[in-house]
Amino acid sequence: MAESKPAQKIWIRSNDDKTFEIDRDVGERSVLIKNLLEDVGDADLSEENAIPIQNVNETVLRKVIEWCEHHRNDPPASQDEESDARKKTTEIEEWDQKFMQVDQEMLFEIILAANYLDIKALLDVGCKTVANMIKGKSPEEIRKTFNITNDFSPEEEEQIRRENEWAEDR
Amino acid sequence: MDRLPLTCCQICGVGFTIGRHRTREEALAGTGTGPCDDFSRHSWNNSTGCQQGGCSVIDRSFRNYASQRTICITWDSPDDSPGAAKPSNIEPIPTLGNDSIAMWTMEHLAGPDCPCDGAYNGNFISAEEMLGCCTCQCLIPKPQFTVPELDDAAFESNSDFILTGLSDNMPVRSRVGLFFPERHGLGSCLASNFFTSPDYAHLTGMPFHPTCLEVYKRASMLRFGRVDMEALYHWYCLEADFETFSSFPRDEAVRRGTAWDHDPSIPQQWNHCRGDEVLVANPVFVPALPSILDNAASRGTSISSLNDGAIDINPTPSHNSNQTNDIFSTLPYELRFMILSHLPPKDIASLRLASRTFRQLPQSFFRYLLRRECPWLWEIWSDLKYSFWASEQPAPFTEDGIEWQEKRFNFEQNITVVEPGNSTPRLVSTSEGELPSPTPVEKTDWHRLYCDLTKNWPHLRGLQNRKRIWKDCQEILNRIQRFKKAGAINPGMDTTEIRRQTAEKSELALKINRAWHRYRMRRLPLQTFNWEEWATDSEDEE
Repeated sequence: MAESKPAQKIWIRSNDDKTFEIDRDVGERSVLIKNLLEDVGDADLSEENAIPIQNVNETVLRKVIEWCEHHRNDPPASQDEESDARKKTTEIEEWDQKFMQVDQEMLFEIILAANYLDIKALLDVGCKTVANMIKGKSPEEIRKTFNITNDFSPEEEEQIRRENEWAEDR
Repeated sequence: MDRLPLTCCQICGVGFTIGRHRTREEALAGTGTGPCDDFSRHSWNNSTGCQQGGCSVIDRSFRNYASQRTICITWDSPDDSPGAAKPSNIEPIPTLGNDSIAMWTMEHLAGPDCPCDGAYNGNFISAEEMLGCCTCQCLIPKPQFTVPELDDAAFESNSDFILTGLSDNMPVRSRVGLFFPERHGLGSCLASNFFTSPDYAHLTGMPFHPTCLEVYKRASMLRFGRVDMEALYHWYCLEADFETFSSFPRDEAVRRGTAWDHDPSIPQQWNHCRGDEVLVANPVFVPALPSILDNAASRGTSISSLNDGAIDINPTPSHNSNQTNDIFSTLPYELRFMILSHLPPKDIASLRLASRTFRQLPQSFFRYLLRRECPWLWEIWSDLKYSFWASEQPAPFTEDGIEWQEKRFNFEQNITVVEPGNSTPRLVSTSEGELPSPTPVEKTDWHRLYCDLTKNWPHLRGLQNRKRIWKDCQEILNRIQRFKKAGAINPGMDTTEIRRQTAEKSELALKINRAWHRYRMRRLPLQTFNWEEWATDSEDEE
């Protein structure tokens, strides 16, 4: 198992000025970082010259790095095997489920960060987690879950029900 | 005696010998006759069932017909309930079993509660919807000496199998169908869901509804990016054994119809179960669908792009009705849709009632959703033309007594489909103009279309059936993919050896099945069954 060469390091910096030292392959889970690295010569990689991640703060970036480290050896996403990829949509692997047990603000920030950093698999897990929080719930339960105040008038609600005609049982 | 189950469509699993009992109103108006009358005219339940079911009987004998003396018998209930008013031109006869009326000229007309399972009840499905349900076509090994046909499909010239003509009189007992036109010199063939012996494998064709083949073609387009006819035929060659075909996963309604549990020594017929009429609705030409598509397109003329909002939101004077500030509004549009893409329709509807952020949705979203939920609605994504064979339909009966008699007596020769230009009457071809063209992407009100489909779903039996057949095609395609992966099917391969192997397997399965049946008839304890002891080769002495 002994690696002959130590993993190459890179440095990234959150928008609140915290610099993280990470292995290059961990960083490359992000397509944004991967593309940036391609434009930078190896010699220019240094702690002082850390890559700025403008839209992500320290707490969120730490969390994202944690995810990338765990998934550093994932094979590239396999294209749709047999039919109906949709059937599997709610399935999230156990580690990811635990990872996503965070408060809602954090969850949405992770989604935004994954989108900005272009980490498709993490973005997927985030969206699925939110979808699972919605699934099978009544409108009232959804409002409660996401702390939404109901500002629909009864007439508006009736109108929306009419607009929802397409979704009724066939 | 033939002890094999009835021949069904290899793709959808439904039989070809389908009947429909006309309603009384149709008989009096001379309408409602369809392609499948021969199997239904004379079947009725002579016991009390039909009497209580509101059924009647009409004398369709030639003489009566010509003299307009249509006799309609109704079973009046003893207390003479005032429910059914009799039309005045009808001569009522109070009892059935009158010797002066030959039974074979009688047509049974279904009442709303008719208990018969020999035909579908005309009150619950129209003859128009059922067009094509008795039409059978086969894929069969190419005869050794044959010349190309003018109308050969591309695959026919490059492969070792061909399409037969059409047949609408698949016999119940024997499985030899007569096909018209005689393509590649084949006027008849053994249409069977499985091979019965290696000796006949090269004469056995895979039977299917031409309309079901159209469903397969589009499912194949979506899966492989092209219509893979060869793979379909190879799949048949590999799975055309008795066991495999009868265990293919089917809809519950198909199982009720085939009734595999029936005693195999009884010549089998299709079980026409009340409530399962959808099984025989034409999946390609759905009567109510074109108007729904047209409506969505005509309402879409003012749409400028797919990004337009799909919902008409009344500009309400009320406070900040479009201002949203829940947590979902922190996400950019594309991420909101990404979440929606993981939700089934019901939950999306609930979310719209919970959060104002999802009040408005673009047309593109409903188009996406329709394609995701209804991939079988190919009208919105495919411009593949329907094959000539699927659009060819037997024309409705004319009210001509002679013609009816001819059909009655000659139904062995009663091929109802001809080539275009042939002068034989009773045949119509759906003209090109009637074929649905793909819905324009930009100029369609996708939200409207989705709503209309849902609202009209109970009446869109053809689409319901298409959805079912689509599912069967997905299973076929899954199996094809597995065979391809395992190297069991390859483009351009010779199927002779595969057919022989499958036929041997099938022959053995049939022998065991027959032995099992013989054994079961003796009602012996289960443990002692050894099929070889019961496999007498002398055919069916009982």
